[in-house]
Amino acid sequence: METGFKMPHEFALSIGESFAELLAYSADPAQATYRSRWYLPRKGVGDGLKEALKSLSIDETNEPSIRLTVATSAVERILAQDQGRPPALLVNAGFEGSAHLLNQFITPQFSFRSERRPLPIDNNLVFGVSGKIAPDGSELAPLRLEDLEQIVAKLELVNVRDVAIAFLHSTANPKHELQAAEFLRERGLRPFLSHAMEGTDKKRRAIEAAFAESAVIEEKEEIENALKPFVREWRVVGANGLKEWHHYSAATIRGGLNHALRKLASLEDGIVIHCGLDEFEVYVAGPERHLVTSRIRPTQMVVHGTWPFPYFSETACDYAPGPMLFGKSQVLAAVDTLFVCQHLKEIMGFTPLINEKSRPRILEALFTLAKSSDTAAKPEPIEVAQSLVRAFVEQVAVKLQLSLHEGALAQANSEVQLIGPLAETMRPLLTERRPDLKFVCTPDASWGETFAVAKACESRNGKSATESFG
Amino acid sequence: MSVFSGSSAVLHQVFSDALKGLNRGALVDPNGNAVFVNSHAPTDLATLPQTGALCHRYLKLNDGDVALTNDPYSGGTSLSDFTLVRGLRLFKNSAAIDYLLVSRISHPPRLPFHARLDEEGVRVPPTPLVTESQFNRDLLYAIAAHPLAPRRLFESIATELERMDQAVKILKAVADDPRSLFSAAGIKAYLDDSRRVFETFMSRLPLGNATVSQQLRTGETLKLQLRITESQVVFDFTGTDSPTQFGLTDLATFGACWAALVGSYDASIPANTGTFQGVHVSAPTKSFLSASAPTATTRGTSEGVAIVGRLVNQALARLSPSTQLTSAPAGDGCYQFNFEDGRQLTLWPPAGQGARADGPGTDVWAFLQANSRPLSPEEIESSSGVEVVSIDVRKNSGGHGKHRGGHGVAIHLRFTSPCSLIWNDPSLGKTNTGLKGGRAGAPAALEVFRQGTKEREEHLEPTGRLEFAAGDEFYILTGGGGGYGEPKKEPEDE
Repeated sequence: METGFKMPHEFALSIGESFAELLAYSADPAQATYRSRWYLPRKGVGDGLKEALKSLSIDETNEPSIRLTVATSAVERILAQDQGRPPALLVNAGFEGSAHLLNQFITPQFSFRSERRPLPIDNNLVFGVSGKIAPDGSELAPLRLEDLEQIVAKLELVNVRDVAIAFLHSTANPKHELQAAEFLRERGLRPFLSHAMEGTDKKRRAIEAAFAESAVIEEKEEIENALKPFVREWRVVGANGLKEWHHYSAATIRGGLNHALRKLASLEDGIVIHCGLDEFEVYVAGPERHLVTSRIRPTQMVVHGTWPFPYFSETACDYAPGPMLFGKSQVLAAVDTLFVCQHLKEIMGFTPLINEKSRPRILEALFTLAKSSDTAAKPEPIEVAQSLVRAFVEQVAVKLQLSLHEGALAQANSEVQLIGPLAETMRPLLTERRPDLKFVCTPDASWGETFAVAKACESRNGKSATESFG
Repeated sequence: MSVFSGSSAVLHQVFSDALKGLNRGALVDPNGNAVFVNSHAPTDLATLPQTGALCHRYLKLNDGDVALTNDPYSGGTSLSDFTLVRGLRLFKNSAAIDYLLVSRISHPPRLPFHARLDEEGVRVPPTPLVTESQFNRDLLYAIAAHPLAPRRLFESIATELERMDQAVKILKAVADDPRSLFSAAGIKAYLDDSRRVFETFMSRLPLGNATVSQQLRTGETLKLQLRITESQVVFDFTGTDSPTQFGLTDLATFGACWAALVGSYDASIPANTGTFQGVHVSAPTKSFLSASAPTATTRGTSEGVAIVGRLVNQALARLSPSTQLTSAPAGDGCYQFNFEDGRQLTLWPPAGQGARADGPGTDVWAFLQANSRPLSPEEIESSSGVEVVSIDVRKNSGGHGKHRGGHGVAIHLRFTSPCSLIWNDPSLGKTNTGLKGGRAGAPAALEVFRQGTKEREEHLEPTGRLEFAAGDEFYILTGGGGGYGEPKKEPEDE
């Protein structure tokens, strides 16, 4: 970590799936007096914040003067790691058994072993409520509050507080969802309404938010416990912008980090590629900042799957126990191949976790994969790693190429800005792949995510975008 | 850019992303070699490339030109499926088009099924729709105005043209990168790697011969001799009867065989020329698996595909028992409601999958995932004069066994305006037997409760017509799959 002398008034905190970053600064995040990136499985959010306070010599003798802005991937992490708690689900009576049937199959195209994309619910906690809204929004039958009384009594018995509400045609008329929500709130429960969710799959979103809420609240309380005496203004970035602290909920915060990054990109010209530890995204200039999320993630697992050579699987591993380079896991991931090919540059808070002794084990794993390659000449392990790195870079290059066609290049003078912890790692690789473009990393590029959080409230002309506040 | 180990997987992803907006799409070279086929319908696998090739052969498509056809005997499937073929010049040095983008749009079929093609709908041979950037709207209006044309044909085709534009934009953008993998060398490597994927898959297959046959309820005999050698899989349907009720084209039959083969082994295999080469289908001329004009094809491309797929699975199970599915409803019943105000609702309710030798059947499943869109009560209600009272898994419908058959679905509808229903569902009243001591799954059934009465009408006829008044209630109960293996204990009612 780096410390300075000036008492900072701004804390920008970004919480990724496995790493958290904090910037403490007074006016300009580029002049941060403190920056830290820490590994969440080893040090919680609260502990990292307390360490920052200590380093900055902020104690209870100080007046509460900090303005805190947080963006978090908590919901994504909780869903990926299955750390939430199955919520109750309220549906229209008659549709209690159909929730799972709404899901698409996720198995191969013509598979006879079909599986649906799972929903994080417990079938015993799915309840039907009488009442119906018509497709045109008219009320066919009023909501039966007596049904809700019985449901609340059952939920008290099983100690479930989070309730997803997914009534038919609620986007045409949310009346019944709102009535049910009010009823539940009055009884101390936390409702999640499908009509209020972002995206197209609103019912799934409501269920996922309800599933994640208890863990999200824990994270929020951890932050509050660490910073309460020192913070005068609390803010969280949601999918639609900056929100007041009481909106710190799974229903609101999902997509907040993406919003912050999009906002940061809107302050730049041309194309911005975010090279995060969790995932890569490409942001394109245009009337509406366009986000192209790359499918590739640094933690994407390497397997011998469909193809006659090792390739990245559809799923990513966690950073705990982590890819093989941390020395604890048996799971080979994309970032391991960057490491053994010596492309991985110094990353604060990440590099110290790398166990140099893992290198031979990674090569051993690559050797096993090379042996299983269905190719005439069995490649050397390092050749397998090099091919995977090329594929990794190529995936980003394809997204970049699509972005160039959005018309951003003319504005950018062929410059593409790279931000995020893996920005310096990707710069030479992308330069080799696209010598016609200039890839730029600012000195603070590694802190792109937290910069984005810091700038989430700024508009293009530099003024504070407080209109989105609250 | 030179290709490298891994480049095929990247290219595969590019094609997936480019074509994901097309429900049934393919990228094909001008000779009809499939580079990438993305469709849930087995019949599309070989027919999309063929439609592309024939349209180009007849019409000499240039970059941006689009042809339209629905002719089953020009590479299509059935007259309700319209196919658009667009010429693509992707590379700067190309003198002519490099590829064809093919997209197929589904429309509800005309029920009841007919025996002759010309009764099934309007037949459009390969026809220029967009030439030198000029969209021939008048022609499309004229086709759409035909009394046998699908409803809203003009709108659906116009929308699909926009979707194709989006796909073309992505493909052209990627090809425009001078170091792109999307090059002649990249495609060659992709098809070579795909072929190797299929060879690896074939090395898992048991070698040998198996012969199976089936007497269809419509009278035809279907015979299959399966031969698996180290280099190819041959599906020989010699001995299969001529069409009486329905027909499939030979290319549609190929797709059904290929899909059932890879589906039986749960294999994830790219669908393209590289992976098609190892499969050979021999369907005797004039058999109903190699139908020719004027044989109708609508029934063949729905019911017929499921029949062929099951027979393929049975044959494979003779050589490799773990792949066997027990008997299950066809899951391809089609219900068409025509309301007085002109609205139409078509449902393909899924059924329960037969249990497998190595696990239970899936609940509410469509064989080979054809028509497997999730059942959305909101969509049903929004598009028709019907209220969905409930949709639920049809409990206890899957046959008990060591591995349970998948349950069907129970759909309860209440009509809010008068309508007539025409249906075709071969699984109605048909018991789905279990295997190795597994119990049978419940047969499919239809139930009607007329408004003001409590009497239940049951219908088990595979085809029929009913009239409904506002307030009448209707249940579609799809069948459960048969169980596999002796159950440890008898089922208790759920």
